[in-house]
Amino acid sequence: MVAPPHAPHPLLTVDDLVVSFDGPLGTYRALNGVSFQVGAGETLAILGESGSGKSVTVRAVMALLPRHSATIERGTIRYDGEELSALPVRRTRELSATEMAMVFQDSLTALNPVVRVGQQIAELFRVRQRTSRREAWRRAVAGLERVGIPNAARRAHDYPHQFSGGMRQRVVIAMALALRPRLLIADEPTTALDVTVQAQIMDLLRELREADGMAMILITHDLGVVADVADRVAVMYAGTVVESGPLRTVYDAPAHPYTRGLMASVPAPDRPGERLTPIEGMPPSPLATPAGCPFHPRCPVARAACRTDRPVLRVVATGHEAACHYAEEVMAGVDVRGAA
Amino acid sequence: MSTSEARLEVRQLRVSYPVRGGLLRRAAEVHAVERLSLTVTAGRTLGLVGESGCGKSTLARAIVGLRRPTGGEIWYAGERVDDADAARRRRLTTQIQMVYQDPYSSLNPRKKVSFIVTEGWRVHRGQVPRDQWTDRTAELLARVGLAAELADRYPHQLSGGQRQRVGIARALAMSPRILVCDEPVSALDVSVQAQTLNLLADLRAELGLGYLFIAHDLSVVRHISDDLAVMYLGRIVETGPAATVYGAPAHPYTRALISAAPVPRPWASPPAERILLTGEVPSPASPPSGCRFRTRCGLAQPRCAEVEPELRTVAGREVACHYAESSLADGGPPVTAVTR
Repeated sequence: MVAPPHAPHPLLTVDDLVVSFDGPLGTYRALNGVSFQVGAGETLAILGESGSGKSVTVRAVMALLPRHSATIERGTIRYDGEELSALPVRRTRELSATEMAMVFQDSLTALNPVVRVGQQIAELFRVRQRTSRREAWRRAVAGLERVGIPNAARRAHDYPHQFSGGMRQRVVIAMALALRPRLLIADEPTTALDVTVQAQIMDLLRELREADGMAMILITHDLGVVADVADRVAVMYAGTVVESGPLRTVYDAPAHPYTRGLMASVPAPDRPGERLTPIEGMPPSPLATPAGCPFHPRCPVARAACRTDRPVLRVVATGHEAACHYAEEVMAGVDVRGAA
Repeated sequence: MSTSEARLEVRQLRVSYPVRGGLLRRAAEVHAVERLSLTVTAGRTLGLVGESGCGKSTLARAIVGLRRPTGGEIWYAGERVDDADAARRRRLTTQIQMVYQDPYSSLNPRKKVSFIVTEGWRVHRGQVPRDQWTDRTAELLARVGLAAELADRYPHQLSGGQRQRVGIARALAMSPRILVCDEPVSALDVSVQAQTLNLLADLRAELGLGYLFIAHDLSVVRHISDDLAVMYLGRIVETGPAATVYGAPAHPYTRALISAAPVPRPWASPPAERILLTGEVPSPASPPSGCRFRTRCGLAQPRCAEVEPELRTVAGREVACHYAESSLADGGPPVTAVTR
């Protein structure tokens, strides 16, 4: 069910993606060479703090970047062998309606407030599959049932505001899955929800993925939320992927000092009150990304080379990549504060 | 004032909001906080957890005097606070200060940091003589780990973590004994969150402060708290020493909360019980009869709909559940194992 890392034909390959924005304070690079792959049926977690570029990355994939301010300067996005950045936006949109689907953090803004939820889902079948009105509605109700909305046939007549936050997120998921996409991108799907509801939604996503065999990209800032869902993880920092690999390998033996720092920042449930080991300082502004390794000003193992040479993502173990000159030492736990 | 006197006691507190609505526009009341009692002592941290809408922020606002209670009493250092006259109230409020959740909206965007930190001294004349303001501000900024030159900055020139430190400095300016922290780290990134948690732990140790630490993130609360209180729909359902409550929760809701909290490396701890609650928190405007949690509780019996359970002592903590003993007993009936 789970594709091996780096399967021969990954479903989605993003290679060296560079995206810049024209902002009021000048042009800045939001993405500075992002590379990752997602195999068919595989779930990839993209982990990063605010401003690391995780949302920009998936918006670039979905052709949802603001047309007037964002420019793809370099890089390729390949979906199932097709080069997306070479295609007209129209074709990408078509793909993104049928093959790829996205779930956003804020379910209230993702839905049209004045259209009944059943209608919003039925519309997809009408437009994309040319089904009859009756058939489209029937499928919409079935879709709502599938994501666990009680009394789906009745609730399909309700408007978005009549649903609770958790139920609304289910509606959005039903909509995203309506056309049976092969890739589902979920951008912080549970951040706005309470813990108990978050657990329900993550379970639902896991079940649906297994039933449909679809691939998923889960974007999150929370190391814990993705831990039992994702097969692999890509850690982003300052617009690049600094580490990627099987989730458990990356969490247990991080090869990048930033990943290691993140792991040490989270309070351990079994050691309450123990002093945390935060990463010093704060992420750089995209307007002033440091030369060399973008993490070097905060890095406990940085040396002279880190200030001048930008490390590239390289293989440090099977299926495990890191962009650090000293990844081997980091993996071995040498000279790093917070090392176990 | 000696440490033993710096004790905040909330007794049978009720805070209600008037709601007008319905066909006849009858005035109704929502009890956001209902007969709630708790104690915060200097040098210790009481962690208060609950999901959105449970009344935790309302409680915080009532304690610092931003919301008038409709019943019950608030005592501080042997004096009743909630019915104090203006002069006494002013004196007492310096002792209990609040740190707000959102470091973006809780600082006046038009004022420099130096003004924000000294604002309390403008109101409470005589607290700090005018000619010492500059020195004391520098001291406060240093204490919270901010460079002295940040005094001349505006909030928008600071990062989220720096703003939260300004919020903490502002609270400390009044030399309080008790800090009410309402979700102080939930808006911050993981690495910055760890810095702030360390700072709060240092301040507690150095200044002997008592914290009421309100949060929805159980791992954070567990990390910093000596005692825990779990809130559901305006009431405390379980409270006691953090190790007891977290280690062996007796209320079905506490059990569900702990099981739903995401753990970064679930494989590193023994397999935990997995409880998925059905549904979401009911509206506080129409809480269920009897036990407020019964609509989501797998242990619920007919009695739970009739008699509201009061807090009682069970195995070293207080818990409001008719069936706490069987919930606590190993191998007791599962709370609920239904996904949807």
